[in-house]
Amino acid sequence: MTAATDKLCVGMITKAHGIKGYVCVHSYCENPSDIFDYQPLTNVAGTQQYKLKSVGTVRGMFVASVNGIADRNDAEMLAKTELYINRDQLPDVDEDDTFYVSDLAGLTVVSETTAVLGKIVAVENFGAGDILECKSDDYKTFMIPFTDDAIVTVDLENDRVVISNMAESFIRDEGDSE
Amino acid sequence: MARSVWKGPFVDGYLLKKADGVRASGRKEIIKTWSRRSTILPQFVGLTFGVHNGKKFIPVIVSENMIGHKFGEFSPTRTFWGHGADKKAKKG
Repeated sequence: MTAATDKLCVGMITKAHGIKGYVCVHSYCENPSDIFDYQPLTNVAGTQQYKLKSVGTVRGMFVASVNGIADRNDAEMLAKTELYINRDQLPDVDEDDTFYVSDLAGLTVVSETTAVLGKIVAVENFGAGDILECKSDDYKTFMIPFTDDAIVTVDLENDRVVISNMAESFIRDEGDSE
Repeated sequence: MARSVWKGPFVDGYLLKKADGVRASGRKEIIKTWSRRSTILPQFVGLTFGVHNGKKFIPVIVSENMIGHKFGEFSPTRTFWGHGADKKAKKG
């Protein structure tokens, strides 16, 4: 894993709420309330630490108190602050063939003949299974289904994903006609 | 207004032919299509389609609960940049 992916953005303080120093928090977590389990949270540089405590919800966002913040003026200073955790704060995945999206992002995509095809930039799910979004060296984007048929191995130790010949041929003849 | 039942679901003929060919041959292949308007039929379950979104082919792995929907529903045409955070992906 690269140093750039060591920190994960799990949410953002959007604005101040009320006069007691509370803030509104937008969570990016799979289960939104999990953001309060990852303590302490930091800013992007890691210089500031925040301990958040949920006090309620407003319009789909959490209202939280922050340690050391007691009035609205201080709370307003935190508006638009992105909240980060270290990768090692995430619990281990106990299911087989399940990976954190943040671990997959940045891996090199190689074919079975070890030709480098590109890098994973994101993992999407549009309702029909997980999809790896990859970018080649010439900035061309392509998608690979995250299935056993398409992915041979996910090698986190060597930072690479080996794709099958089927997936490779899907990428190669992009302009195929019907 | 909903489509008349007597007409049956709409599927482009060439897509049906292509899917039947892949199913009969038993080879593992991603079927590329531009036919976003075609309805997902029961015989498509288990196949993987690459549905064009205007720019690239989005892989769509057809499962039982997708029957009756259109292919285009699973291949969005607009970009959404979300956050990874602690989200997980399962190889399946």
